[in-house]
Amino acid sequence: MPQSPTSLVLSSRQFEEVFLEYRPVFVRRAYRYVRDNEIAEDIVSDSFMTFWEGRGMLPEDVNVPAYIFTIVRNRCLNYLRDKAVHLQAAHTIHSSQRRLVEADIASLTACNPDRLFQEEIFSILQRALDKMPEKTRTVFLKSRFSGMSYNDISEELGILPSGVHLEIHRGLNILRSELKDYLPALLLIIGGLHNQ
Amino acid sequence: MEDITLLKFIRNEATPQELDAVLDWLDASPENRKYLNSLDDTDFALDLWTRRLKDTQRAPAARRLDWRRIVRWTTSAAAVILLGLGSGFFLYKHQMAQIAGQRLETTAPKGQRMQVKLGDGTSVWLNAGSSIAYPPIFAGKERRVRLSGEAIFEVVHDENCPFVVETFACDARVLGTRFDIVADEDAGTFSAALLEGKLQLVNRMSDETVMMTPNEIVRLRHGKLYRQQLSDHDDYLWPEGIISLKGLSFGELMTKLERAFNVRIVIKRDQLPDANFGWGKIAVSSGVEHALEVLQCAADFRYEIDKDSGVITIL
Repeated sequence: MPQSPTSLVLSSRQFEEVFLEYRPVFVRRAYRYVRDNEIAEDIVSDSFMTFWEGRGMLPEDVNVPAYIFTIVRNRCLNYLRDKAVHLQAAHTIHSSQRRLVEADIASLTACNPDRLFQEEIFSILQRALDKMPEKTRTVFLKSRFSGMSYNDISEELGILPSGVHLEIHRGLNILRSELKDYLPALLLIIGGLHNQ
Repeated sequence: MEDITLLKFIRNEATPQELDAVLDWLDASPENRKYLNSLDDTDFALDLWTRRLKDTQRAPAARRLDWRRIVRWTTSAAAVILLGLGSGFFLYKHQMAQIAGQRLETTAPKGQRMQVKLGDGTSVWLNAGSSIAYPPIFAGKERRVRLSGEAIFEVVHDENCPFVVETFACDARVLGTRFDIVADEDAGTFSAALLEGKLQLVNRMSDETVMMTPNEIVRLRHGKLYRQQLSDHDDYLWPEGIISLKGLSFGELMTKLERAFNVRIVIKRDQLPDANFGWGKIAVSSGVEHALEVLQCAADFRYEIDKDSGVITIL
């Protein structure tokens, strides 16, 4: 039974909130794969538009940000695949550029929005951050949120640059191992792609 | 491969040499690809988690945009990019720099109550129009938040890390407990009601300290703290959307209704009606007109609601 076009998934006010809240995050994510700011911005803006125009057709319990991000992801994939074709056709000698596009396609294919947008993830992250030793957490958060360079952190906290690297590695490891059980499907997909 | 290099790769900051090294490394083993993917997921999850941080600077009023404006904005994104504002990564860095040492701030909209879960599992019920500032994660010897307005706290017990509620007037220091605080700087009122556990109050002006026991309320009057027994918990039912009428003057009741229902009430009478309710509760869900009708049973007044502006006039 198709949804009637009047069944609104969310009001314009709610859409605006989702837009303001997620747009910057999505642009950064799109940038990570397409590696071009303008294209990332365009893809994200278009994805929000596509969602808004088609919202009447969506089931009411749709996870809105996850849905919008799925559009972003698919558009990024299309872009990268086009680019790969062009690079191939142009017989580019820049083989590393082609390899990069292929690596990014593989990474993006592995990204599963439905899993990443579940609320549980946030409590897992919270728990992981709580688990970190004080020093690890301080270094990790500073590098992530204060925009400080590794050298700045090393100077401010009076630890060696190698120590900063170590703490960041430690922090990431704790986070990754906490998230690992939660995001297992990704790993399988990637294994498969690699063998192509 | 070092995480630092992989992060540079993810953020498109790697040098051509590093790029080639990462690509070789990725091709070397499927395990390496998995590693990069989990790093990507971690990075994305962290970013999603902290997205709220970026809203802290934005006043609620500034966020009231018309969606048509947004759509216009999205379609003109290309122009924005030409202006050089579009750099996603620049924005990222810039926003991250802004966050340095900052706190999340949540305000319950007028006419709505809101529950906030803090990093340590503590839950906070914010009454309409009240706001709380808190760090995304508690790190350090204290869990410190700042409140303006009214909130009920259910603090998760942690003996080694006291929970401190900072207000304009007093700091409340707890280990684990349930309590309600009213700290309205504009009206100059402060009170703390302890429902469970233990609570220490420190007057910011005089350093006067009061140790509270359950079922006590402490009010600030003329810069001093006064202690009283709580006879019941009716005043603390607001998280469930229930307003207690008991003991409030007509003026106080109108202020409560304005906040709870997000309406403007204008009183156009020289003398306020008497309204000393010995008891009585109103459910917010029944609507403001119902609330006024209930009040009319005990207080002598008439009211008019302007259909266009929604302003309620008490006559």
